[in-house]
Amino acid sequence: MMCLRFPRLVATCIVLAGAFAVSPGCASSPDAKETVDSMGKFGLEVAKVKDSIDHSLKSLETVVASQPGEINANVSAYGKSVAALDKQAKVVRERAEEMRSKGDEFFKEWEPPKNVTPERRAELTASFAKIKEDMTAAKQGFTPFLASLKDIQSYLKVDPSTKGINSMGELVKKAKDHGAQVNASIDAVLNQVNSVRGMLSTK
Amino acid sequence: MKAKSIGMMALCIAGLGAGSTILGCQKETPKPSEVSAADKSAAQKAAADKAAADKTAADKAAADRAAADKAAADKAAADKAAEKAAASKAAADKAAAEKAAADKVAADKAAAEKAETQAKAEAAALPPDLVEMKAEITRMTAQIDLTMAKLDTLCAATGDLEKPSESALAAIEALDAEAKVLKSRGEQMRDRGAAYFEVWEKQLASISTPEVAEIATKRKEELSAKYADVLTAMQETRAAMDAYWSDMGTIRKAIEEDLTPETQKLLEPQVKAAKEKATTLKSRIETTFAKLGEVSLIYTKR
Repeated sequence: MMCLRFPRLVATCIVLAGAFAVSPGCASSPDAKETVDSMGKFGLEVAKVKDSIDHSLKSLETVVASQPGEINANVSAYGKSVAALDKQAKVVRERAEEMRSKGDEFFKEWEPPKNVTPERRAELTASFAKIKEDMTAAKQGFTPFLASLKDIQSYLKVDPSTKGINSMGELVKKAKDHGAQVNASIDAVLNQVNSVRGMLSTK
Repeated sequence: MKAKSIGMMALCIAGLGAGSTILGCQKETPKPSEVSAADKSAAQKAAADKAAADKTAADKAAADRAAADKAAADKAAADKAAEKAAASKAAADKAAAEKAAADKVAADKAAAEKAETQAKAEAAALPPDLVEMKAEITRMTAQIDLTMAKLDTLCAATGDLEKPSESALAAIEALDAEAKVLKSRGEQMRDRGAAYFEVWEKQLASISTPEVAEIATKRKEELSAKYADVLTAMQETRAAMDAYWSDMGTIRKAIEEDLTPETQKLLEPQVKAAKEKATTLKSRIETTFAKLGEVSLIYTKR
C-alpha cells in the first residue's frame, strides 16, 4: 500500500512544487515556511519517539532474560529507557501543539496561487486535517502504552527477582504487541506529515 | 401275372398269421449277446459316470479343501500380519511413551537444574544486610558452642573452680553481646520488611494497567505469605532465645556467687538443660535465616 501511495505522493509534490515555483511570493510566505518547518521538526521528534519505544521494549526483553545477578542493573536500565521515552513524548506533545496551531493558522488564511485549483487546496487542507486525526489516534494508543511501561517499571522496583520477571512473560508479549500498534499509528502520522510537507515545500 | 401276385400276397398273409401265432405262444428270451453288451455298456457308462462324478466330487472336495486350506493359510497369514502390526504398534507406542517419558524426565531435570542454578545464584547474590546477618549468626552459634563447652569444663573441673568460672562467665558475656547484635539485626529486618510492603502497597495503588496490577498483587500475596513465615520464625526464635537465656541467667548467677563443689554439682543438670535449649535455639536461628533468604529481595535496597 505504501509502495503505491508513495509514487503518487511524489508526483503530487512535484506538481505542487512546480506550482509554487512559479508563484514564489506565496510559497515563500512566512506562514507556509513556518508550517513546513514545524512539520519537519515534529516529524523528527516523532521519529525519535519510535526509537525510544523500540529501546524501551528491548530493555524490557533484556530484563526478562536477566540472570539473577543482572536483574537490578537491567531493571535500572529499563527505568532509564522508559524515562527517556516519557521525556521524548513530552517534546513531541509540544511540537505537535506548535505544528497544529501553525497549520491551523496557515490553512485558515492560506491564499493559494492561481494555478492551485480549489480542489487541490481542499485536498491539502483535508490532508492536514488527517494529520490531526492520525495524531489523535496515535496519542490514544500511546498514552496507555506508556502508562503500562511505567506500571511495569513500578512493579519491577518492588519485585526485581527471578520469580518476579518470570511472571511477566505474557505482559511483555502484550507490551510488544501494543508497541507495534503504536508504532504503526505513528508511521501513519509521519507519512501524512511528510506528504503535506512535500506538497507545501518549495523546491 | 395278376393271379401270381394275388397268390403271393395270400401266402404272405398266411405266413404272417402263422408267425403271429407262434410269437404269441413262445416265451421271448433276450439274445444273450445283445443284453450283456448293453448291460456292460450301461455299467460301463454308469461306472464312467460314477467315476466322473466321483472325480468331480473328489476334485470339488480337493478344491474345497485347497480353498479351505488356502483360506486358513490366508487367515493365518492375516492373523500373523495383524499380530505383527499390533506388535509393531505396541512397540511404537511403547517407544513413543518411553521417549515422551524420557523427554519429560529430561525437561524436568533441566527445569530443576535451572531452578537450582537460579536459586544458587540468588543465594550467592544475597543483599549485603543478609550477608552481614549470616556472619552474625555464624558468630552467635559459634559463641553458643564455645560457652556451652566452657560450662562443661567448669562442671567437670576439680579443685580450683575460679579460673574455669571466670572463663565461663567471659564466654557468657561475649554471648550476650552477640545475642544483642543479632536481636538488633532481627528488629531491623522486621521493620524493613514492614516498610517494604508499605512501598509495595503504594506502588500497587499507582498502577493503572490491570494486567500489571494483577501480577503485582499476586506476587505481593506470595511474598507476604513468605514474609509472614519469617515473622513466625523470628517469634519462635525469640521464644527459644528467652528460654535459653533464662537458663543461662540462672547459671551465670550461680557462677557469680562463687561455686562450691556442692553448687557445682547442682550446676551440671542446669547446663545439660541449657545445652538442649541451645540446640533448639541454633536450629531456629538457621530456620529463620533460611526463610529470610526466601524473601531476600525485600532487603536488596538499603
